[in-house]
Amino acid sequence: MNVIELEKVEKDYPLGATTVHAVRGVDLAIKEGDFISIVGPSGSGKTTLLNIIGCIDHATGGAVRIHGEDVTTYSDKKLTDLRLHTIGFIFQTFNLIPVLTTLENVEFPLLLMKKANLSKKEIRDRAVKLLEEVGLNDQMNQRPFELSGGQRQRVAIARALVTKPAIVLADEPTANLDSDTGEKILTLMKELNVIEKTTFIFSTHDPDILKYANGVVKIKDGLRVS
Amino acid sequence: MLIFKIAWRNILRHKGKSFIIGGILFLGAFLMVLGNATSNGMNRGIEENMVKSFTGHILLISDKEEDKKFLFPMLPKPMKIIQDYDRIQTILKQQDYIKDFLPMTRGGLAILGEAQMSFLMTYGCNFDDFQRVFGSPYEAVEGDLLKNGDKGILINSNGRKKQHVFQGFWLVPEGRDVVEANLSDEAKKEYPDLAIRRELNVGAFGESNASDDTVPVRAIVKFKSLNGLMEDISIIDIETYRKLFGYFTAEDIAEEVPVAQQKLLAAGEDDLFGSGDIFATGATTSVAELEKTIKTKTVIKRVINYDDAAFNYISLVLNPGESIDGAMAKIENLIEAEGLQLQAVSWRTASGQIADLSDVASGIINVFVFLLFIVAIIIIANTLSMTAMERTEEFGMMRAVGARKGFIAKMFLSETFFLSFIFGGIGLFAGVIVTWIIRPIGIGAGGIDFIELVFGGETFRPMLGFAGLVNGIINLLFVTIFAVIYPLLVARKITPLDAINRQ
Ligand SMILES: Nc1ncnc2c1ncn2[C@@H]1O[C@H](COP(=O)(O)OP(=O)(O)OP(=O)(O)O)[C@@H](O)[C@H]1O
Ligand SMILES: [Mg+2]
Repeated sequence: MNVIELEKVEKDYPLGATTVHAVRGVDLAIKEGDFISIVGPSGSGKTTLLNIIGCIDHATGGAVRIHGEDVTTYSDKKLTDLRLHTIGFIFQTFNLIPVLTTLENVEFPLLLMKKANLSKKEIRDRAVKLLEEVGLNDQMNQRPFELSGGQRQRVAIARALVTKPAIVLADEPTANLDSDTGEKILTLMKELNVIEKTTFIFSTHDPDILKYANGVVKIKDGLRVS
Repeated sequence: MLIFKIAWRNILRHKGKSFIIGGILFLGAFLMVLGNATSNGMNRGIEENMVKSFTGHILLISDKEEDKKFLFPMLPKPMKIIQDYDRIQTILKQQDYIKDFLPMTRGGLAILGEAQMSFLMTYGCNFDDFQRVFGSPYEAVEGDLLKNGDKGILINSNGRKKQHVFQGFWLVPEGRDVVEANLSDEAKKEYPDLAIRRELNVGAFGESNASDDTVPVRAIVKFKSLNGLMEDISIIDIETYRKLFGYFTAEDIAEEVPVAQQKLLAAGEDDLFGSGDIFATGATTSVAELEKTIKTKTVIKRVINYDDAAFNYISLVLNPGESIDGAMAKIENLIEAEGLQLQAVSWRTASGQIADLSDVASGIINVFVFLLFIVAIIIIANTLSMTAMERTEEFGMMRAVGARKGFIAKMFLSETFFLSFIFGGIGLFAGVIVTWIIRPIGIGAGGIDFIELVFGGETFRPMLGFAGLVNGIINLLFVTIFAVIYPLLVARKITPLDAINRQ
C-alpha cells in the first residue's frame, strides 16, 4: 500500500495581482519504507511540496492521501494530530522552541502525546538516546541560542524522530551541517528506514547524499520531470 | 505542567514585556484598591459623622409625609405630625436592635431683620435626650449648651458668619460679650462698631398659624465634624419650637389636668390627629376652643412631660452590628404589625442632597477606577497582541510538531494569568498595606469645608473591608480576561505556515 499518494496536486500563491503557480499538478506515490529524495533547482517547489505532504500547507487543487485517507478535508485538529503522531518534519530553517533546552525540545512532541502511555523516564531515555546518536551528548541542557546552526538542526532531527513517526519529511536536512555530520545523520536515518520501516522523503541540493535514496523525484517549475 | 513550565520561562524570557504588563497590572490593582478604600472610607466617614451626630440610622416619619428627603430640604415644607408618640415609644423600647431613639421636630425659620429676611433650618429637641442619643456632636464655641427645660436656640458657628453677611448683625449668646478671636474677617472690619444681637426675631416658615417670636441665642455651636455642612442648622428647645410653629405644647397639656377636661381634650385630639396636620393649619375651631379652655384652667399639677405633644420625626440609632437594610425591614414589619401611622426612611434618603454629595465623590472615584480599567485593558491587550505576533515562529513551530490550538491558548493564558496573579496580587497587597498604614493616621481636611465634605469628616480614613478586597480580585480578573481575549485569538490563529513565511 502507498503511504503517501499525491494526485494532480496544485499550489497557487496569490502574489499581488498575479498568481504564483508553485506546484502545478504533481502525481506521486510513495510506499512504506521508501527513502525518497526530491531534487530540483531553487524555487522549483520542493519546500512547497513537502509542506503539503506534511499537512502544514493546503494544496489548492488535487488530492493528498496519507495512509489512504484524503487529508485535504481534515479539520485543523485532525491535521495537528496527524503531524504529532504520523509525521516527523525537519524544516529547512526554522526549528526549536527557544525557552526549552535541547533535551526538552526533543521531549516536547512526546509530552504532547496524551495517549502515548510513556512514562517520564521512557520519554527522557528516548530523547537522550537520540541526542547521543546525533552527537549532542554535551549540549543536552543548553538552550537553542547557545547552539550553532548545525547543532540546532541536529536537535530538530532528533525531535522529528523521537515519536517514531511513520513518515519523516526533511527539507534539506544536511544543508547546515558539515559533510561528516551530514553523513552520520543520513546513516542514522537509513538505519531507522531499514529497521523501523520508516518512510523518508527529503529534499536536497547535495548530490552526495543522493546515494542513500532508493528513489529520486525531480521537479522543475512546479512540475514533476521524472 | 509542561505548559506552566514553558509559560513561566517565557515570562522570564520576555522580561521587558512582562514588566510592562506586570507594571500596569500592579498599578491598576494598587489604584483600584486605594480607590475602593477611599470611596468606602468616605462613605463610612459621612455615615459615621451624620448618623452618629445628627440623623441616626433610620428615621420614622408620619405615613402621610410625602417628602422622604425631609431632613435638609432646600425649601422646608411643614412636616406632618407623628401620631400617638406615647404608644410608639413603648413599642420602640421593646425592639432589641434599636439602641436608642429621639423624637424631633424640623422646620424653617425666617429671620426677620431690618434689611432683609434670611433663613435658618431649626430642629427642636429635648437637649438632654439629644445628648444621650447622639453624645455631644457639637461643642459650644461661645455660651453654654442647654438642658431639658432651658429655652432658646443654638446657632452654628458658620451659620453665624453667614447671617452676619445677610443681616449685618453678629450673634452672641445671651449674657455674653463678643469673642474677638471668633469674629469672621468681615465682622472684624466692622469691629468695634459691629452690631450685636443676643436674640433672634424669627417667624416659622410656611405655617399659617405660626407666630413670630423673639428667641434668645444661648450658644454658638460647632459640630465636631462636617460643621460646614451643618451651617444652616440650628437647634432649638422643643417647647419654643412648638410655640413658634403653633403646635400643641407639652406645657399646654400639663396645664390641663382635671378629669372634666380629659373628655374635651380627647375629643379635640381625635379631631386633631384625624386630620393629620391640623396643628400646622390650626384654623379649626376645636383647637382654638381647646386652647382657650386649657389656658383658662387653673393649674392644679404642673408636671411637664416633653415627650407629650407633637413631633415630626423620630431618629433611631441601631445597635452596633445591625445593618440598616435589615433593620429597615424589621421596622417596616413592625409598623405593619402594630398598625402604626409611620413610615421608615434610611438616613441616606432622609438626608437628600447631603448624602448624594458623598455619592458624587465616590461616583467620581468609581469613574476614575473604571477609566483606569479601560486604559489598563487597552495597554495590556496591545502589548499582548504584539507579543503574540512576535512569537509567531515559536507558536508556529509548536503547532508544526503537533501542538493543538488549545495548547497554545492554554500556554498564552497561563503566562498572562501568572503575570496577573503575581503583579496584580502584589498591587492588591500594596493597596491593602497603604490603606492599613493611612487608616490609623488619617488625612486631615485642614478645616476646609469642601474637603471635609469630600472626606466625609474632619479626617479621611480609607477603609477596605473583605468585600472591597474580593471586589478588587474580581476586578483584576475582569481586566485580565478582557485584556487577553483579543491577543489570545491572535495567538490561536498562528499556523506553522505563518512561521515559515516569516523567514
Ligand atoms: N508564501 C509564498 N507566497 C508566494 N510565493 C511563494 C510562497 N512560498 C513559495 N513561493 C513561491 O513558490 C515557488 C516555490 O517555492 P519553494 O520554496 O517551494 O521552492 P524550493 O524548491 O523549496 O526552493 P529552495 O531550493 O530555494 O528552497 C517559488 O517561486 C516561490 O517564490
Ligand atoms: Mg526550499
